[in-house]
Amino acid sequence: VINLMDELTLKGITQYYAFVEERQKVHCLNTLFSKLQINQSIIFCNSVNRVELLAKKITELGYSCFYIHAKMLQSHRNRVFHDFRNGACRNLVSSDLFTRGIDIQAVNVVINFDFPKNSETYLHRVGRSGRFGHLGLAINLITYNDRFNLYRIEQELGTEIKPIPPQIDRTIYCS
Amino acid sequence: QSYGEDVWEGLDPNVREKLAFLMNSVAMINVGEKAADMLSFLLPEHYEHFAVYLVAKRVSQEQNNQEVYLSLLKKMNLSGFTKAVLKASYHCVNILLESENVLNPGPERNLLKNLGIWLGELTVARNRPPLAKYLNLKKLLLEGYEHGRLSATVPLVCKILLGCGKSKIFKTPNPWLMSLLSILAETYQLELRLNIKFEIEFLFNKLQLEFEDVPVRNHFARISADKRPTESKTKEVIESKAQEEKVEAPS
Repeated sequence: VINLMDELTLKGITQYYAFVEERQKVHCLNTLFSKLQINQSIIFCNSVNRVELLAKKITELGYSCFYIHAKMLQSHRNRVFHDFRNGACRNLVSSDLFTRGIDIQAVNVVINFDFPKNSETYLHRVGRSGRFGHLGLAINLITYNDRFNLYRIEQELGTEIKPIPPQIDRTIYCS
Repeated sequence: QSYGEDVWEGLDPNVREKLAFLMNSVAMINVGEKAADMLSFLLPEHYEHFAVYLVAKRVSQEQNNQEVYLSLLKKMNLSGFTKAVLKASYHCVNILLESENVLNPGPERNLLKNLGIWLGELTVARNRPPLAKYLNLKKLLLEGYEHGRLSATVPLVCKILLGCGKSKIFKTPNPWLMSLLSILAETYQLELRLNIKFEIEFLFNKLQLEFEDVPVRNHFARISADKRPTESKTKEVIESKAQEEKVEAPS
């Protein structure tokens, strides 16, 4: 489950961004859930508060979701993560607490509901352990304020995050 | 492999989006609710399309979610749709069996194994035999031997038979099961890749059987000499074995 940072790679992950306004984000998420083929997904927010708000919001919209964040008791976090890993739920809303990357084989889609501020965080959220060549999809919701961070993170990680196309080929993220 | 893609694209976009959303969010904790949702808009004219999508895109790729999908089918309780799903399952298995890639380890072989587990749950686990007119398991093994395709057919048959563990009918000494196990026990004695043998061992283990419990009837010996794998085929098997070990070593 836990990987040291130096093992994380973006290889095999196709990365896209969608340029949105803050108030369009939930709608955009809804659209993604009606188009993609998601085995399990993790949706990242930048604060504990936003994790709880988003989890509440999307539960109302009919997703099955758990949430996990840094202010929860460790024992509670462990249980949520364990249940998610076992597939009790399909989607997990999370803050940045997986400081060493996550490796759940069934997670084929990661959504940055809030774009991270630095490349290290981005890599921890999106990267996979190099030993497994899993295919995956990362979708970044980018607001006007995130535009420089997007450019900087792309540069620092030497990777390319392309605008999201109208149709996403399933074979790039489904085994 | 693109099977299922065009069928899915043929559905009304509105229905397609609702179905995709549903399939992305159904889990054990909400399966009853999602089944009710599904029943509110799924019409008989969608059954076939959706069944192919469910099997080709979900069941075969998401082994981890099979239990949820089975439970969804059960909760929906539409015999017409369940039939369509079974038909789609046979259809997809047969397409994969014809592929050449399925003979070697890789994504297609995994899809086939996942479908085997699924088909076992839909059939033998529910005390129904897989229908020979769609998929003849005995023939798959015997012809697999003749044509050097055991590396695909043995794992498939083993995965299907795993469902027998849940059956009241398909357990020893059921003759249909015993004849298949007998061929598998004989297959186990052949020079085959270890991971193929392991599939057989795993099955016997799960069914709590020992090899001694199953009489070997020398089916393969009876297949006439000119039909036996030629030397070149045996060589191929050995070569692909070497290749496979390279590929699978890291795991």
